[in-house]
Parts: sequence; C-alpha cells; structure tokens
Amino acid sequence: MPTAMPTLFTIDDLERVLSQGAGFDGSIDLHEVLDRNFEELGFDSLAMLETAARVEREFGVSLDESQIVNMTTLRTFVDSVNGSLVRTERELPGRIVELTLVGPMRSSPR
Amino acid sequence: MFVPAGPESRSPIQSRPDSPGAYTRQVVLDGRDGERLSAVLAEPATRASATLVALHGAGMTSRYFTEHQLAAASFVDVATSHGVAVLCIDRPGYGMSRCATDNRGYALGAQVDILAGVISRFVDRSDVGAGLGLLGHSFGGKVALGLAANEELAGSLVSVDVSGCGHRLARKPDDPGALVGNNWGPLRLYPPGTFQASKGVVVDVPRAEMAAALSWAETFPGLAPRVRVPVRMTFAEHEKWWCHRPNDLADLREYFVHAPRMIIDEQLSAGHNIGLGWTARAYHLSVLDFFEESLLWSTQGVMNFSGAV
Repeated sequence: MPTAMPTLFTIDDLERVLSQGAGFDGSIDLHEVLDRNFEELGFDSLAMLETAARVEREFGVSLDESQIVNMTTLRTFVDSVNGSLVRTERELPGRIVELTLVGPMRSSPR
Repeated sequence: MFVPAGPESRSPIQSRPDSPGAYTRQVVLDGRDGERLSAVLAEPATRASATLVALHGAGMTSRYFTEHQLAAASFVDVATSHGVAVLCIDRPGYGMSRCATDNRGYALGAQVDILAGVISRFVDRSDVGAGLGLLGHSFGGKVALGLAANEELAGSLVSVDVSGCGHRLARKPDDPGALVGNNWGPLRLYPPGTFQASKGVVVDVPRAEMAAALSWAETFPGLAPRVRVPVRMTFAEHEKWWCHRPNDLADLREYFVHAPRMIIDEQLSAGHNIGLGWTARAYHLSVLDFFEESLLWSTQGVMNFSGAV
C-alpha cells in the first residue's frame, strides 16, 4: 500500500522544511512571526524555492516559481500550500509521480 | 586541424566513458586591449578533440556550466567525458571579469568586442582540436549570436548553439517581479538541492546588461542575417521569457538567411535554466550532437545541409 500523502500543511511542517532545506536554526518561534516577510527573517528567494520544492515533493503538490513570488510571509506560504493541497485532492485522480533519481547525488556543489 | 584518415576514421568527438577524468582549472584570459577575463577551462584527460566556449546568462557566472546536483550532468562533465574541452568564460561584468569599478557592466556590443578579442587570442595560443563552437545560455545566447556574426571570429567558428533566448520577449525584464518569477518554472523540474546550491552561481545583473536585454528586439534583426555558421536554438518546454509558439519560431528561423543550417529544438520537462534541471544531461548531450554534426560539416564536408551526402 502506498503511503498516504499529508492533507494539511502546518507552520510546524514549514519550520521542519526550512530547517532541512534552508538552514533554519530554530532561533525564532515561527508561530509568532506569521506575518513577517521571509526576507526580513533571513530567507532569500533561492532559500524559498528550495523550501517550496521540498514541500512539493513531500506533500505531492505542484508549485511554480511564479507562485513563490507571491508567498511573501509565512502565513501566505502556508495558506498557498494548503490551497494547492485542496486543489490537488479535488482535481487529480492520482498524485504527482516523483521523478526517479537517475544518478548518484552530489552532497554539495564542487 | 582534423584530417580524416579514411572511411574507417573516427568521428571528431570521441566518446571516452572510461576517461579517468577531466582537468578543470581557473584561468585568466587576456583581451586585445588589456582586458582580463576570468574563466574555467575544463579539458578531457587526453587531448581535446574540439572545444566549446560557453557563455552564461544574466545574473549567473561561468559556474552555471560546471555545477549540477546530479553527478556527471553538468555541461563540463558531459562534454569532457566525450573528449571536448570547454572554456566557460565569466562574461565582462561578472566574476573577476568586471573590468569597471562601478559594476555597471557592459552592453551587448561591448561584450562581443571584448570577447571576440579574448577568444581570438585563446584560439591563437591553444590547441582547440578539430574546431571551436559557441554555446550560450539566455543573455549569453545573445552574446554568442553576436560573436557568430562578428567578422573577427568568422573563420574560427564551426557552430553556435543557444538556449533560453529567442527574438520576441514574452515579458519585460524590468517588470516588477519578472527577475524572480520566470527563471525556473515548475520546481519539480530540478533535483533536490538545486536552488540552495545555486547561491554559488547567482549574482546581481549589471545595469548595462538590463538595458541591452530590453533592446534585443531591435538588435536581433540586424544580427541574425550575419551569422554564417550552423545555428541551433533550444527552448525549454516551460520557457517563460520568450515567445516560442510555432508562428514565433517560424518567424525566428526566417532571419538566419545565411546560416547553412538552422535548427530549433524544444527540451521537454525543462524550465528556462535548462542546464540545471533533471533533463540537463539530455540537453547537454544534444549540444554535443549538434556540435559533432557541425564539425563534420566544417572539417570533412561529408554532409551538406540540403540533404545529399
């Protein structure tokens, strides 16, 4: 049986993904800065793209770079992902199939 | 110069999958008027069969061609493993090639002039193998086309290959948000870690380059007819900067009236940054494919592009 995809994206999920992909060190309680701008919190656009890409893979949603531009605060990010989750549930008969890794991963760029 | 030994002679580009590895080093290239440009020179383990000069896009550096999250997928990895050397130049205004103290950068014509001198000197002093080709991405594609149309390099080039560059902008680079909304497309097109790793590749766009990007529609019609080598232009399936519907591409083709061959390709499952996605290796192999054809045409005359062999 395939593992069921999560159906809700929370601020705790965002905190975890930011830690994994964007170097977030947990020094701020994200629940208290929901309406702060990502840039103010030290996350640039590439960090947000990496974060969104991780959310995409983990939660089975499809996100485009142009959507990320509008996700300026933590709250808009969480709301947007949940909006995509709802659409994915309603519109797609199956989840997005993740691409298979075709070669060994590099741990970091040379 | 490559000289075929006979019917059994090998193709100009040799596949060496068991190659022990490439030699990649930082170099500084001299220009005609004392300019100094930084570059990465990646050479195969044995003598290069041919050489490609790679020119990066706006807001990136030569590392665009040397980095990839998948092993053996960067352009220099793919090219050198097939015996082709790659000279990835930091275009004027980037890397250590800034030249100007205020970082205004250089307009298209100035970049072409500087790079024509730099590449000519490189060709004079180096063993480039069977021939020299150009590969340009995005703004680097404009510069590559400019160099292909430049008389100084006319006799040295066998081909020009461009990605992420067309002739009709789909959106203006100076629109608010355009610079951060149209370079990647769907995020699923890139392997994990790509965006974070790109922090080592992405830099600010010099102001002069932004102005040149806006005037490309006026520059292109005078430039394309002067290209006299085989041309290939590849559009990613999810390209957002450029119009690439059939009528746009038919019109684009019409400008290359003196190019012996003009190919327009589409790379499926790719966004604008075609060299960094899951399909980058496939794209890079197609670059070598086109380069090999062009070398054969240039050095052996085994094909003419009207169809007869």
